[in-house]
Amino acid sequence: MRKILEDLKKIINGCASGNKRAQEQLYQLFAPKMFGVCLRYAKDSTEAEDNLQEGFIKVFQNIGRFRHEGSLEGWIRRIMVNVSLEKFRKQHVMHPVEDVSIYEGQNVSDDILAGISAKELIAVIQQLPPRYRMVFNLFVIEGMNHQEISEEMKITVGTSKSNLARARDILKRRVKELYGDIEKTSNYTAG
Amino acid sequence: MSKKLNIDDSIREKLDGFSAAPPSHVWDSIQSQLDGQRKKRRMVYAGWISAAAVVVLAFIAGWYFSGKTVIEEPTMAEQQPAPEKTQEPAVLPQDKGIEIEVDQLAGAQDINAIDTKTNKTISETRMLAEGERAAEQNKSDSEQFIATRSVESYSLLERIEAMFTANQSNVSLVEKSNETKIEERFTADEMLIAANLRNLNEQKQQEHGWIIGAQVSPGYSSHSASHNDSYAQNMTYESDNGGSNIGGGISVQYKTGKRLRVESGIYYAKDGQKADNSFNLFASDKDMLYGAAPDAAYDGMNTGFSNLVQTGRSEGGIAMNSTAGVIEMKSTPRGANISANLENSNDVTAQRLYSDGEFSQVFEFVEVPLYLRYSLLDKKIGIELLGGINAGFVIGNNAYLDNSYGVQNIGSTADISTLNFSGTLGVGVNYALGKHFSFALEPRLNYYLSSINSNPDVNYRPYRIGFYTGVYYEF
Repeated sequence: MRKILEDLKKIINGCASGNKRAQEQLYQLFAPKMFGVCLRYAKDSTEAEDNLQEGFIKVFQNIGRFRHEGSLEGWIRRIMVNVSLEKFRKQHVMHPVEDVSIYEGQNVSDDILAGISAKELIAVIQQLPPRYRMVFNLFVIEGMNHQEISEEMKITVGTSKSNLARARDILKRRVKELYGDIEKTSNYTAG
Repeated sequence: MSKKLNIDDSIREKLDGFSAAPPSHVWDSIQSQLDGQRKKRRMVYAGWISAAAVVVLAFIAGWYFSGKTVIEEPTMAEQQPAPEKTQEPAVLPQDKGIEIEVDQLAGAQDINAIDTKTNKTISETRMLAEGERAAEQNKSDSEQFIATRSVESYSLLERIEAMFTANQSNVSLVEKSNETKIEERFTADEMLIAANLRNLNEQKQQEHGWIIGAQVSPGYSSHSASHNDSYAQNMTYESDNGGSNIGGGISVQYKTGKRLRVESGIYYAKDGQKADNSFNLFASDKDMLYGAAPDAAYDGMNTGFSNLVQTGRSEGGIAMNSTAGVIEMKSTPRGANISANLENSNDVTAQRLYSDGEFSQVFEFVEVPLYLRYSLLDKKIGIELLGGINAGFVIGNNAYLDNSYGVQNIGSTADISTLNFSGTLGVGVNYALGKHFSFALEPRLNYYLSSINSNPDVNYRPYRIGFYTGVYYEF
């Protein structure tokens, strides 16, 4: 473990001084996971690739400022999320429209999620309207609360809540539409 | 609530550790982008180093030029690091600014493209009545929204874009029960947005480009000179004056960034001086001698010129020490006389040339500059600083005597180096006449950094103040 940390430190220092080899090592180490993150925030894999690229450029530019406190993965991940958010902000003008209507939850069994793969789930998330997708990711995966999301996205807490509910709603419906049959199958096999 | 949390948990579990191998071209583009930045940084760095070098050169030259040594030196030391400090912000904020502009533009285009499409899709839905009601509400919503925005003085583009976004979210509410369709539209819209963005990014305004210019420069030239004692003893005229002249040329500039430009070109310039002494007969041995006295033209009222000369040299001709060096004359100029200074026994070989009129010495240069220009203000009226060095090739080297016989070319100055270097500092004010043309007035100071005469007895450095007036064309 100590060895790994030492190696990582070496890679970080290498990146900070612009060493190409170290940059490639760092990329190889984190790219797959970060691509996973970018995919969740993007509408398709092309956008995810763009964000991943932009994110890593930022990582390499700023790695000199990484203080070796806290996890490097968390730091890189935060950069990826920020890049995705920034892209969203640029493409969709934010405005403080109050959107607090609460939607009726769909009667979809939670088990349905067990039957589908992460890849399939991401494909469904990518199809969410952009703002729902952002709020959903920030809340569910990043574990931010509505207050934080509202600040990050410059929307009201109410909008954040409503968007989240709406995102869940659409998500479940889509999963049911697409993978409803699988649910039955998996139920059979399970039971 | 707990049920929802469970869903969240299971989604999080599924996705948290999710990783997927990105395609290999991503790393390739990252690498090439990093390489590009390295190069750019190097270029910017080189730019600042040369700018600093110009400043240092200018100070050295200025110090050398004015003969003051003490005060300027600390300023030099302070000047040098200053550009490096500002290096990063000088580039980054500009880049960002451009990106934002492009995005706003993209937004505007999106609306043009999508607005009609949105309307069409609404009419296609079977919920016309509901749609209309919603549209009305939507309209008032956006109006209200726009009203608040306009107070905050948002640009028209932003307002249009905001209206569009408002449309978008309201439409999605209306068609709640027609979910799939909305999602398709979102995807379609987003594809359009993305395509527009891509196009615009490709067309992203270039900060690099070429500018050509042509200038004429009325100016005044003079010199700073010093001579060793033995040389000075044989150069008896004591003062000379600079002269006005005209130069000009063409220039080419390359923009390396929003503010920085590198310039070269080719200029023609003249430097020189005139000399006369009013004769004061018999006052001293440097003055007009007895032999000249009978000629009424040589009185204190008229301008005339006299100086020691050397005749009977093995090379032939007549040699005369002047400010810029030894003038070699083939023969005695018309209207001039040479008298032996026989009254001074120490100086039997020294002879004196005297004439009415004025003596002048002119050097013509073709200068190839390497300047850096820094734009302080880039509006309709722009202000620039420029500085750099010139390679000056001497193409003309003549001495003239302007007396009652007209202007005669009496010879040339010996030991003048063909290639000399000069420094230039200037301020440019330009006025944009259109998209491509601009008119500019640039006072420039040009001074030779070392003596253009290779004779160790003579230190002669011409300088020139020119008012470069001309036009520039930007591609």
